[in-house]
Amino acid sequence: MDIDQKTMKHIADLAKLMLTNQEASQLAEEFNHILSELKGIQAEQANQPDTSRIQPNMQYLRKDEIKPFTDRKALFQNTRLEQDGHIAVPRIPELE
Amino acid sequence: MIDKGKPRGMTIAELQKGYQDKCFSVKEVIQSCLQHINNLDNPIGAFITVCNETALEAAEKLDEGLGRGEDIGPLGGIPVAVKDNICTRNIRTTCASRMLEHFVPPYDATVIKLLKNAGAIVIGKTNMDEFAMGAASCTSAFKKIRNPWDFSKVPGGSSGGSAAALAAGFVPLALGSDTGGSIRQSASFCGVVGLKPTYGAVSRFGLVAFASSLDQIGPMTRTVEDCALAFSILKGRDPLDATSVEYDGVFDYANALDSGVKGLKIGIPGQCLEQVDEEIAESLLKAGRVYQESGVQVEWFSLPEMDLCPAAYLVISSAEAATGLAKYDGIRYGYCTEAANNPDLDGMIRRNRSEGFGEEVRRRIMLGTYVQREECSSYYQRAVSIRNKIKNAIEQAFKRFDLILTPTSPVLPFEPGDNKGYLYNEARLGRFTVMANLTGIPALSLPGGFSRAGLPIGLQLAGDYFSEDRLLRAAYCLEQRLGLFMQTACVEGDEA
Repeated sequence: MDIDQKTMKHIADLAKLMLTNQEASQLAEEFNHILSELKGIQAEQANQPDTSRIQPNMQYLRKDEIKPFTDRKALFQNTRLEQDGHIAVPRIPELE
Repeated sequence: MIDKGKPRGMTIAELQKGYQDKCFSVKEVIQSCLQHINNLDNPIGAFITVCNETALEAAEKLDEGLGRGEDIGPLGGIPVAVKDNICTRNIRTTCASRMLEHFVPPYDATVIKLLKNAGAIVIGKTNMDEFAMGAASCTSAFKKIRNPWDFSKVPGGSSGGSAAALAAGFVPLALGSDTGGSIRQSASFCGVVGLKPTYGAVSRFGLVAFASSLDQIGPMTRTVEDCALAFSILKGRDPLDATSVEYDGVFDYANALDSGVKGLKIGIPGQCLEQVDEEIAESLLKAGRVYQESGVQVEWFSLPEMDLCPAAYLVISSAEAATGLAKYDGIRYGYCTEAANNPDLDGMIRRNRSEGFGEEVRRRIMLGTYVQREECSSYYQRAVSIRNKIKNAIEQAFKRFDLILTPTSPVLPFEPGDNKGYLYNEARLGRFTVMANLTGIPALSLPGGFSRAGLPIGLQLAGDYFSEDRLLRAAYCLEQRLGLFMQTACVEGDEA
């Protein structure tokens, strides 16, 4: 499937990004090139198991235990604004 | 050149010897290290944050311990530079992105805890490609990084700051992360050693993820011996990373390095001589001859699957990146737009992400979002098929060979902009490195020579799962035979 500018604009909506028409055209051309590399290998390798995990049966899970993190100050150290013990977020017009 | 009076440029092993012989105190080493970074790093741009005060405090504590006759640990008093996508408690961790410009983690990554417990001192956070996306270290939101061997060239990416800090002699040890070759390609361009361990051999807890099924933290050093020592500290299972695994035994890598390579079988894929810089190919052939002279059986074989890897890597890594980076909306933390005219919540998030992420990161998020749509899922499945294919091919190869030798990069360090602007071109630079990430095998880059223009050439050794000991042994043999570890870059403004 060839990717066009309109598709790119839709993808930008899904990804929550802003995109100019020029950027959309450039990306469409580039993605077509990348994905064309994959078109030739479809049939011969269908239905193989996913190898995204390198070694099967090598995932270890922790016990499901509660470990409270009590350093409240540390948790809030990256918020821009704190008010009355809450994170203050920017004003959103549609919510007013 | 190494001068015992000036710790700059010394290896971990030399610093340890210096401490043992009381040639200098930890504070003197750290002071010297900080002075060199503060005086000489400006044109290089290897560091985003330099930890002047905390590093000196840590040094004073270690000196007190030494004074009391205490053991200060296997990396006691060793300055370490940490890639800025690895969380450091109360030290800014930016991922070289506006999105996380002011982010200060309230915790240490497991690798940082391990290094600190071993006595190492975090000297600073290194510059990199934004969110580790890039192969030239040109996408940092803050500043460009220059290659200490030639300021007109890039240091490789994405761990370019860590590699440049080593090449400039600022530190003997750095941490990098490797998703498609970031540790190895940077090490290659800067003439240092970089190890991407087996997937799961080193904990990734506290690493800001790029693509979780590919990411791996690893050590970067100037010598193979130092690399082995650092890896012996970093490896092992971590309850905080479910993908990490036990690494059997308390293996002493540094002491096992001398045990030789005689009888090993090394395979070189014939594809390594196709579309590869002539001088890099010459270095590869020379390394093959050196191994043969050392009693290694060297054979050529075909690995055509290697050339399918870059496209598969782009699709898989971008899909994972798009998902992983979806959490950055700039609402609770991270970059938030100054613009006051946001029409609605969605519009504000869109603006935060578009202004907070750089061009390269936005491109990868777009590609990753595209291939995750239901109607496009066949692309992702095809990429996974390639991953299977290369995994099977590698498994077959390791039935015949103990190790695979390739160049690290098909090209020499280039000028900024030479490969920019086209995602696929950048991915092609990782032609030899991405297979280790797609399959999870360990791979190491070490200096393999210099071009006629004096630029470093890196060679890559890849081994079967959990065969780091063999990998390091073979690398040590080549390093000692070539003798390149004696050479370091001379930085402009250096009185030496």
